[in-house]
Amino acid sequence: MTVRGSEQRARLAAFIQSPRLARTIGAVGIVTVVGLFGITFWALVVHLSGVDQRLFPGPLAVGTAMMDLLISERFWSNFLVTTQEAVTGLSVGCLAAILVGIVVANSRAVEIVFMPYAVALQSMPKMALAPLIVVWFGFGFSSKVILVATLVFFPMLVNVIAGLRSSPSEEVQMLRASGASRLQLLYFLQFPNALSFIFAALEACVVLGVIGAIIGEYVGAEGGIGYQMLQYYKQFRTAEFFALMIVLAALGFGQYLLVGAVRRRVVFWSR
Amino acid sequence: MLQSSPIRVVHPSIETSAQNKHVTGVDNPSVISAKSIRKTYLDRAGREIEALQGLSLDIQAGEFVAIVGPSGCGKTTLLKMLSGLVEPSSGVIYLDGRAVTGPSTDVGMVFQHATLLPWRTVLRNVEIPIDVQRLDRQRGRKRALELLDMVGLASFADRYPSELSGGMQQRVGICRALVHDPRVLLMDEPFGALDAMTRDDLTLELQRIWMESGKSIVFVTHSISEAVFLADRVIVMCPRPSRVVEILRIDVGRPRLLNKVSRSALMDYEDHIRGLFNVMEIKRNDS
Repeated sequence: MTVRGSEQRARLAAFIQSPRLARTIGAVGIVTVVGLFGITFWALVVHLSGVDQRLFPGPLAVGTAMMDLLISERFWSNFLVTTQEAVTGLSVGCLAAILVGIVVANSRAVEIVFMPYAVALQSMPKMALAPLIVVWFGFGFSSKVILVATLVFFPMLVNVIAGLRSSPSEEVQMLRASGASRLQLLYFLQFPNALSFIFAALEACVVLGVIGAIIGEYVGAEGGIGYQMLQYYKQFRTAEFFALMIVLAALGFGQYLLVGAVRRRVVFWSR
Repeated sequence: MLQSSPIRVVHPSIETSAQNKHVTGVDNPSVISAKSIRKTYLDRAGREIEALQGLSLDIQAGEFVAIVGPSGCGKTTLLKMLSGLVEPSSGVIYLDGRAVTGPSTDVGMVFQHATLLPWRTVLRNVEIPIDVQRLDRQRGRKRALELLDMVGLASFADRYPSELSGGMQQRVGICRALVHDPRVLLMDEPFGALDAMTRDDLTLELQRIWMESGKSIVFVTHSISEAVFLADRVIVMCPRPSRVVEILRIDVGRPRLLNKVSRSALMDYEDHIRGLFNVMEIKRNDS
């Protein structure tokens, strides 16, 4: 017991003295200080300028609105709707991009026929398509999922193709010399090698997912954070609107952190 | 003149195999038999470039053959044709009496870089040919561990390649090439990216592995001393045009060591090959 206790104490001491902990505390400290400074500046501008707080609410008003939101059931059900739309759309768009990317990367013919259209579609501002998508697929869940999926498809596709093509040629020869078929080459080398590209694209796409879901909800929806924001906008409740903006930022950032954590687990070998 | 020197030269020709049998006096069957193979490719302007002039070659079971020459002499092209990765423009290669049409499971290949997959542990890297060829997993694992033990890396089986030094990685690469028990080991400048001391270690180790395993090895290098030290026969190649200039038998006993006695015996052969390259150089400068 005592041996284990002392061992634990020693481990704790080592952790407290470790440079990693110091770095983490330092980083969190700096971020907190900068944040507090920003909020103070915000409060000073609002209160000293005497601007109408219904137009530009101060941090106190936004904080109060945020507290009210966080305890309201309506907010949480809307939060769930938007998160589901964003995550489902992201999954559908990324999976489609990975499948199409595998085909395109392995076939010159498909690439020559398919890619010009993909690039042409990408050049089209897909946000502008949002009303049409809502008209076609309704006010519900599916129109948002489709909007998000079209939004994330291309950036993911480009990265999948680049990733699949980035396999070092000596490794390819090694597998071919071992007797690997094309499918085995994909499974043993090209796909694992493309994972770091796929995760890099995913980190960019999670933010696009939230944007797509909100735009879809602005155009027409029965629920979701975008829907709630639109209501606050019509009621001129800017403090609540601000609070929801902060929630959206947190949602995007949280997903980004989650993807980063998964990436470090899965693609542990790169950097 | 060559007759009086201790060096026996086998000239590259269609008769190579007959001469070899005469020289070795053993009727070992050929594992690899290349019949007047040639490789050409088209450059951007559509002109035909010769990557390798016609070559015939027989490699006996258990023989160690080194191919030496400066870059651009077609030695890697030759090796890739033997492995089935590259198809000859004309001529045929037989592996165990069967014509080579593509990569064969009877061949193991080692490259200049270890080409280990960073997401697989050392053991899982060695097992790649087992996975690809869908061989018995249990037996494959046993053999992989035996091979790792043979090169002194058994304790590193669960590490990742990034935790290993360059020499250790190349040892793992050699284990991987041997794990499916191929008849022939093809090595493309396997020690080219290593520092001099690691190179010496691995050269000795490769000799030991070859003597223990009884595989046929074809070893491409641009180091004359490495080729002479390791090989039973050295194929000397030259660029522009890419061709075989001489096939040289190294009559020095085994195991060869990196000491004075062994090295002085090998010195004559090294000098002879250097002489060949010098003559080539002078000829090219004259023309």
